[in-house]
Parts: sequence; structure tokens; C-alpha cells
Amino acid sequence: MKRRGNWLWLPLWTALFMPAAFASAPTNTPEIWLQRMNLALRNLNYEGTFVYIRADHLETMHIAHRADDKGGIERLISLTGPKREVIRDHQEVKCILPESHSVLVERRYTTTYFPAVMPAAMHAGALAAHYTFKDLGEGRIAGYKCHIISIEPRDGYRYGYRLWLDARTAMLLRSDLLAEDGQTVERVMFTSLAYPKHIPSAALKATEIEPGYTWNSQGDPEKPRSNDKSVSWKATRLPPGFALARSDVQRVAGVAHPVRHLVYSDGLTSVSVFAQATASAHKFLIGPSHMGAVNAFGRWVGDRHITVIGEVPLATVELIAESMQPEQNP
Amino acid sequence: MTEKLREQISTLADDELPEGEHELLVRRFAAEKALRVCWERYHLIGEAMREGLAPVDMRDFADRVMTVLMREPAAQAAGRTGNFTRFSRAAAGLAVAASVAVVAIVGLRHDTGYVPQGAAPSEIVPPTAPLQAMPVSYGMVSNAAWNGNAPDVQAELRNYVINHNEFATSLTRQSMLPYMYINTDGTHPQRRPQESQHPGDQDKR
Repeated sequence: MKRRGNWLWLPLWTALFMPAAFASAPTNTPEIWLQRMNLALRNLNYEGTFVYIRADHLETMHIAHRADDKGGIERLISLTGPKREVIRDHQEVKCILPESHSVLVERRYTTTYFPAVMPAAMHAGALAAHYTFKDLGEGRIAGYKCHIISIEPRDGYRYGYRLWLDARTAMLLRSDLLAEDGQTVERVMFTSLAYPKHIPSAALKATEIEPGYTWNSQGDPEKPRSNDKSVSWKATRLPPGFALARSDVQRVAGVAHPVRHLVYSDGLTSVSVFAQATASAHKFLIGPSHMGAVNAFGRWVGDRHITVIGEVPLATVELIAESMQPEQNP
Repeated sequence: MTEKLREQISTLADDELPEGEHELLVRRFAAEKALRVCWERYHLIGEAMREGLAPVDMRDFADRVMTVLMREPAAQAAGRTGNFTRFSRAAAGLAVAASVAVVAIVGLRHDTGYVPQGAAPSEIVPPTAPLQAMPVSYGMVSNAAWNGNAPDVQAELRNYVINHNEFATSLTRQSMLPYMYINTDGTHPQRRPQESQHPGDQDKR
């Protein structure tokens, strides 16, 4: 296995070997494995093929990821099903959808990486109130020896995880998302993976986009309009452990009007609330919907439409959606 | 590699390729390593879909089996008679590789995961050690994709998901998952949602 030889490895090596310097400190707890996984996802170059499975649906995708100190660059290409290509660079996420002749562009928010939240929350022990972490021993994925970590929720408001991490690099090689009854909601698994020392720029370059495609761009950050400034939103009830992590007004690619976006998180997973005041003629979601493990719930609150969405059970998005209330600012 | 070629390899992996195409494709396998690698990957994907990957390294598996077979006396004898061309020996190797691949995937468990170079085919199939019990039930719950919604609702949900993923602190959204949800399909509603165009169209909740 090849490894990067530059300074980007420093934090990973630190995570790997610093704990060993302290005999009394545990070196192989699930929490430490997860922190190593965070570092691996940030600091490794990797290229491989993975499958995504939910119900009777299977997709195969190829990913090339080049790590750097700005959040990395990656390119995904679907190998089965509808053609799709996703380029994620330092500034934006570009989704090329040839079958609908469209391109979707979102700004990238590099500071919201999962590792930024996870370690602090875990050190504080906050997650332990809502999840149980277990070490399930060893396994093997895509030819690599793995360590298996289980994260079990303590209630029905969040999913469980079973993670297969490369025993040497802690790279996430397989992830099973588990419902409350232990059934697998979805699975992502590498079938082949390499850690190239260098990912050439050509491997990360988007396919040339043909003329005639529709571009849906998020555009510049939205300044709150007067009527948006006057309305903020509050969840009157939240599942245990969830707290407001973000609130702002922004544009969403493909959505005509600015939306108020709130993010609630329990430290491990998160839920977004999108609220928009609109006279648009298109239809809106009312009630529940889902795609794989992602659940959504929509409702009207006065003349504003609320969509709550997240990788959580239906009960969670429904509870939050039903409790959202506007607050008139003075 | 063309899309048609990929489809042929996929069909071969499913053992459904017509006889005439089979021979032609196998000839190309013998000459092009990229095709053999692709074939191995499709086998792995098939297994991943059915149960999950077995504890064996499939990289270069076809090459290794073909190498072994090329050393077999029968293949060498056939080569001497002229009935087997270089390509047909390769084809025989690949065919055996295909037949043992599933057995190997199911049965092999080596600490290293690698089949020793030069091992005879009979040595490649020895599932003497019991498989490690998988620690979880792999039954998949029934679900569909943005079930039963109008296209514009699906499009908006897709856009929201992409935006959400950029802010999410979710565990598995950080690597390969975020973009799975830009696809829309599925027609089996779990709880059929309602849709409305204006606040007054539906019951205000």
C-alpha cells in the first residue's frame, strides 16, 4: 500500500502513534478509531470503485479523491444507472446530469467537515448519552483487513452505524446504516480501492459539458431581505440531544427564492430545515417522503413552506417539522 | 473501454453471454489486462450486491488462475497438439477462473487474502475453515426514492439534499455518500405524500 509522503500525513501519524506513547491511554477504542477515520478521510489520496445498496437498488460509482490543506478535490462518476458526474473542488460542488441536460452548482462549505464536530462532542461525552459505541473486531473489505465499529442509537430518533475501517489507514471501506430494528437501510462499500501517492489533475477534471445544458447555480450568498429578516424560526420540540447548529438565509441551487436554512445536530448526524416564503406555482412536499436513509417532511406554516430533511428516521423529521414556528423579530 | 464492452463483461460475469460473443470476448481478455480487471470488479460487485465481499483479495485473480492453468499438463499438451491456440488456452483459463471465482469468494479465507502464486486450481478452492460469521443481519428494509412525488418536488428535494450535505455533520456523508441522492427513481410509496401548490390548496398543517 502506498502512502503520501508529504506533510499532510502529520496529523494522521500523530493520531496513529501519539496514543501509544502513553501506556495508560486506550489506543484502540471505537472513539479513537473514529477519530482516525476522520483524519484518513481528510488526509488520504484514494481512488476506487464502491457500491451503494438500498433495498433492491444498486449503484456503482468510481471516486478519485486528492487530499490537500484546503479540503481536497474529488470526482465521482456513476458506472451504473443514470449517468452522473460530481466534481467537488475548493469552491463548489458541480453535479453534471447528462440525462436531464442539466448542471447543478452549489457553493462548498469546507468548514463543516464532520471531523470538526465529532472529536469535541465525543470528548465531552455528549454522544454517549444517545449512542453506544462497540468494537466488533476484525473483518475484510476489498482485500484490506478491517476493524469493525458499531454505533448503536439509544432511541428511535437516529440511525445506527456499522463501519468497516482499514486496519492500517482507518479509511472508511464499508458503512452500513441500520434502522432501529437492526435492518440495513443502506450500505456503501468499496469493491476496489488504492491509495495513490499522486492523483493526477486529469483524473479530477470534469467531462466537457455540451452546449444547451441548463445550469442551476446557487449564486452569491444571499443577503437577507427585509421580510426574511423579520422572521426567524424555532423548533418548539426537538429529539433528545439535538441542538441548533446553524441558521442563515441563503440561495439553494434550483430554488427560485431565498430560503431560511437551519441545521440541527446531535453531533453525529444532522437535520436541515428549509423555510421559504413563496408564491411559486410549482408543487411542494406535504407530509413524508424518503430516499434511502434520507427522510423528508414538508408542511405549510402560514404562507411559508417548511421542508425538513436529514439522514434520520421519519419520526425525527416529522417531530421537527411539526414543531417549527416562526418568530417575529421586534 | 466502450460501454458495450462493459455490458458484455457484465453479462459474462452473470454467465449469460451468448456462446459466440463469449469466445470473442475471452480472446480480448487474454490480450487486455484492463478487461480482466473489469471482469474481476464486476464479480466483486455482484457478490457485494448479494451478500458482501468475502475475505479474499480478488485483485489479479483472473491473472493468477490463468497463470496456474497455463502450467497445467493438460493445457500444455493441448498446446502441443495445436488444438489450443494461445488464445484458447487463455480462454480456458478464464473460464475456469470464472467458475472458481464464486467458490473462491465464498470459501476462501487466508490471513493474507492472496492465493499463492503457482498454486494448482485444486489448491485455490479449499474452504476448509468455516466462514467467519457476519455480525449483522443484512436484510434490507423496503424503501423507495422520493416516493410518489411530482418531478418538481423531487427536484427541490434533490437540491435541498445537496445543500444539506454541504452543511451536514453526518457520519457517512463525509466520504462517498453525499451524491447518491441526486438520482431519483422508485415508485413504491411508503406513506404516499401529498403535494400542494399553494398554502390554501391543502390542509394547513
